[in-house]
Amino acid sequence: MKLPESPHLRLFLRRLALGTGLAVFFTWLALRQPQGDDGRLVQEEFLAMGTIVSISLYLDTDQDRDAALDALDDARHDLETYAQRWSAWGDGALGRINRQLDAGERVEIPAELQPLFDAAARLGTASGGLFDVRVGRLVELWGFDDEAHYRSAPPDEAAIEAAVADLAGAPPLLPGAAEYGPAAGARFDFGAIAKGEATDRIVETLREAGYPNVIVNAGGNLRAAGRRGGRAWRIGVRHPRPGAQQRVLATLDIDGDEAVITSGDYERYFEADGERYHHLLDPRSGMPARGLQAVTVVAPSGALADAASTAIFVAGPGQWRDTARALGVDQVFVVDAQGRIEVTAALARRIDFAEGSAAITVP
Amino acid sequence: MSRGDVLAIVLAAACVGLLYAHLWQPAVTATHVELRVGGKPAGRYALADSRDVAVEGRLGTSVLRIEDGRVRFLRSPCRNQVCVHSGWLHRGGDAAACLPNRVSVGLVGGDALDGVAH
Repeated sequence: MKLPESPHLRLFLRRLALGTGLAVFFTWLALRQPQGDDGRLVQEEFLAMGTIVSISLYLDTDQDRDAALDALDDARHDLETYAQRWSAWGDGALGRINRQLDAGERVEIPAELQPLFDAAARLGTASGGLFDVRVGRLVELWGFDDEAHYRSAPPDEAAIEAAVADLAGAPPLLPGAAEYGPAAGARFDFGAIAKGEATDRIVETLREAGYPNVIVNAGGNLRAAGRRGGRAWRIGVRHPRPGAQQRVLATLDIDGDEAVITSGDYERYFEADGERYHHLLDPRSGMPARGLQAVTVVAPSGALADAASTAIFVAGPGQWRDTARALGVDQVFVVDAQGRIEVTAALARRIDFAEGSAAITVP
Repeated sequence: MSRGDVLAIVLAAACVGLLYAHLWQPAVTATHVELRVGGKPAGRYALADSRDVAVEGRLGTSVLRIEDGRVRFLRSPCRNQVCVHSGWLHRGGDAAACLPNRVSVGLVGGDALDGVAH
């Protein structure tokens, strides 16, 4: 561009340019997002395993946003493969096993399924059968396998009793087993552990790809690693009976590598005759477990926290502490049917309950 | 002015601009007020709950009013009343103090949760 001849005009243009530049700069400062992340938080959200999964990464200063989005895409594809493998009713590996069991056959557990089968068997034994991945038939009977077709009344009592008796008669799932069955009464449903393990896998995959600061939210199952820049990841726990004022019952910081998983009677349920029937079934009675509204477990792995929160919920008000101990989790809080909170000493030290919520600390 | 002078001025201005952009943080709405007397923590109150809080300082009682997510010194037994004149505070990091009475308040929180377990 050729500058104009007149020195006055040139001076004016120079000042105009400077003034405009400053104005743009200050406007940008004022309108910046208030998180102070400087664009270092990268998030992706998608549907998988019948729920919304959201993954956030906090980038190092030298890491590229587009590369991070590619890594998130890889994690998403990995999760889709994983979800298909563990779907109880689909055409993946677990679906095939279930169809073979239905046909009265003995099944081989494929190598890629064995580690989680093994973990499930161990947790099942440790929980005294309160956590049981063989409950597929009961889940199906109650209709909790199909989000679109919830029942409006509980199933027939005789059908529940028959399913419970069949389950009790089925052979136990043994740790390290490479085969199972025949067991007409059993159908595998890994719904109470696979989502938790999926979060572990995502964190591991992303760590290997060079992203150590991650938070994964798989339908309310939280798994975090590393930090969010200058501070820890900050986690809330939903109030089981939220009011207008109080949606979050408790908050805690995760600094490092941990899962926070809640099992509650509000997740999947229907009501009939004023009674709430939810998806956390007691394998001993075939009925939704009574006595607690919600159980939250903080543990080093998502698989453990997921299975443990289910088993502890089923254990109920009198037994929850013993079950937690048997499963080796020491950071737990439960909300009973009256809304009272009990929290283990190890969790009480680091969790903040909302104002107006009194929690009793138990050893 | 030589070309060198112009270059030095431009570089210095750029440095100031960059530092400013890097260090200047836009305000976030706070969730809690932290109260201190003589520098020692003397209570933490949610800004969501409107109320008056009385606090004993060296000279006497200072009264803080929490209302609509903000807080201010309502009364204080100091002569200059600087604390009362500093008015309403509502941003994370905002602070006010009654130095004669050794009472100070700081606003904290305001960061959203990174996830909610349910």
